[in-house]
Amino acid sequence: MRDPSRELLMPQVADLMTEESTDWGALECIVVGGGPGGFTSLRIAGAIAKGVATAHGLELRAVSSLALLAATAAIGVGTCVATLDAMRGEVYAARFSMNAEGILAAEGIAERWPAGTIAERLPAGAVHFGFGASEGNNRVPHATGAAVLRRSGLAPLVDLASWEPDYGRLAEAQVKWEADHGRPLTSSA
Amino acid sequence: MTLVLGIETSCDETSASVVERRGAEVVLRSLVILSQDVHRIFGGVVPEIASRAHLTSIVPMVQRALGDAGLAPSDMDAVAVTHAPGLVGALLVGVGYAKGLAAASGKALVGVHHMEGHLFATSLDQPDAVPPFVALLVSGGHTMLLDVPDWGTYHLLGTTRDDAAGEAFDKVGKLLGLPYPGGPHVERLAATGEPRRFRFTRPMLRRDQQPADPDFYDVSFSGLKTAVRLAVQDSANLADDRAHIARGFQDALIDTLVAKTMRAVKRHNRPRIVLGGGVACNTTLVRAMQAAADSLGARVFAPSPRLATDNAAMIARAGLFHFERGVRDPLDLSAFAQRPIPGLQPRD
Repeated sequence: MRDPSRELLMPQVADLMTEESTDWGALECIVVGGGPGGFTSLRIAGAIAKGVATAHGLELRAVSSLALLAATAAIGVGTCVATLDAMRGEVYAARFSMNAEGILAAEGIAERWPAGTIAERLPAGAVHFGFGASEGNNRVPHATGAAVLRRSGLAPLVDLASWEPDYGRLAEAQVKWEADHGRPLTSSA
Repeated sequence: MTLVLGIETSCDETSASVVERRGAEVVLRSLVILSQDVHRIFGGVVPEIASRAHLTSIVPMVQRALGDAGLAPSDMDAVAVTHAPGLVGALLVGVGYAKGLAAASGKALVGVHHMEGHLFATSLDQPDAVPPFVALLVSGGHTMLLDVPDWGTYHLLGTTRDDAAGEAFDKVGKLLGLPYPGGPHVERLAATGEPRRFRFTRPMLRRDQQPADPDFYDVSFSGLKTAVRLAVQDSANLADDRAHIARGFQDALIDTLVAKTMRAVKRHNRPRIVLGGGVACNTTLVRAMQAAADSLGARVFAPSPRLATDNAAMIARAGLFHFERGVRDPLDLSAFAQRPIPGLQPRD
């Protein structure tokens, strides 16, 4: 279980830089997991990435957590569906394909499915990776997939200042406000 | 010369600042504060929305603070960041960003307690606001009375047993139909009210209280808030009574804070009183505090409004203090909703 008195991502990043004997300023860009996922986890990664990028004026690139999962799983030639736990009995799901050159492509946009419907929604021939998948395929996104996504053009450049993750859901208070008022919450609301 | 970048994201203000040690002086080189207006819609701070807003505001705030000071991240000696107390999700944005910036630029990281920052805030524009002093920190989240014999040594004398002073202002503002945050609106309304139309009991304030009594310095505002609620409910003509109720509430709250603070000044024989927190923007409180302090020969130091509310300058200043004493935090620094001020001595 995570120790809330310690935040462990930053030490891991710093250790990696030391192990690789890489100077921070020599980095070409920072690639950050862009969600969907746990709100706080996404923000911790996003905040650290923004801090590192600010220090050396580096580019920030964001990758979909579902695409990262597919890349992590190294799906091989063919199609897969990647799923992540969306809580409340739902999953985030998206379909990807990989060609013979190892280039990954997104097939449509990410959706939220009831967790119990994955099997019936799985396209014929597609392999399921991620939350709810069979043992061996129940993988989680890993940073090692970032290189595949960069090569596949799935790590777009984002604006360092204004970028925020795809949280997958609005904040509860905003959902309630919009339901009560029958319109989206905007800054001028 | 030592330069510290401060970052503050404990609630609904995203703020960045640079302070510089120049010989014996500490100079405020820059300060930017972005207040998140969206919380007015909800009548209070929504943690998830505040946290999301911090992530999209922090880079422009830091870049502007550095730009205003004519400096780059590489010019800094340390990055100081609020890591407690506050909304954990909001704090984690500032902490994560500060850690990434400090690690990648090879600078020291210093985690700062938000309330210690408030103790330092006033000294940034009033150099005489230094220990020894009695401090009254009053904000939306905290009410603390402290004796400060020296920087880094803090004796907690009293605190609130329920609502913070600023929280009481906000809740009373809501009862009176005023916008959020209630403090400035209640003060403006109270200025037009008569003091004797609604006189509320001064909470937890009795003449027979002794220093050893647990409630000698403590305050409690929930009963006062209930009294206001009942006055509002019972009012036959609220439109006419609102200003008088606001006046009665504010007088009761201020009388209590002033009386408890004077007890501390007398007992600890301190020549200075330092105010901090958003409620220190209340000019009626500051005037009442000075009037009472005059009789004891003490001087009141109230921060300017931008240093009274949550700001990164006070975090940079407190961070500078700790950096100069050799404090360097590790990269696993986390965020905490509650944590004692470093150097806080338990009550007698």
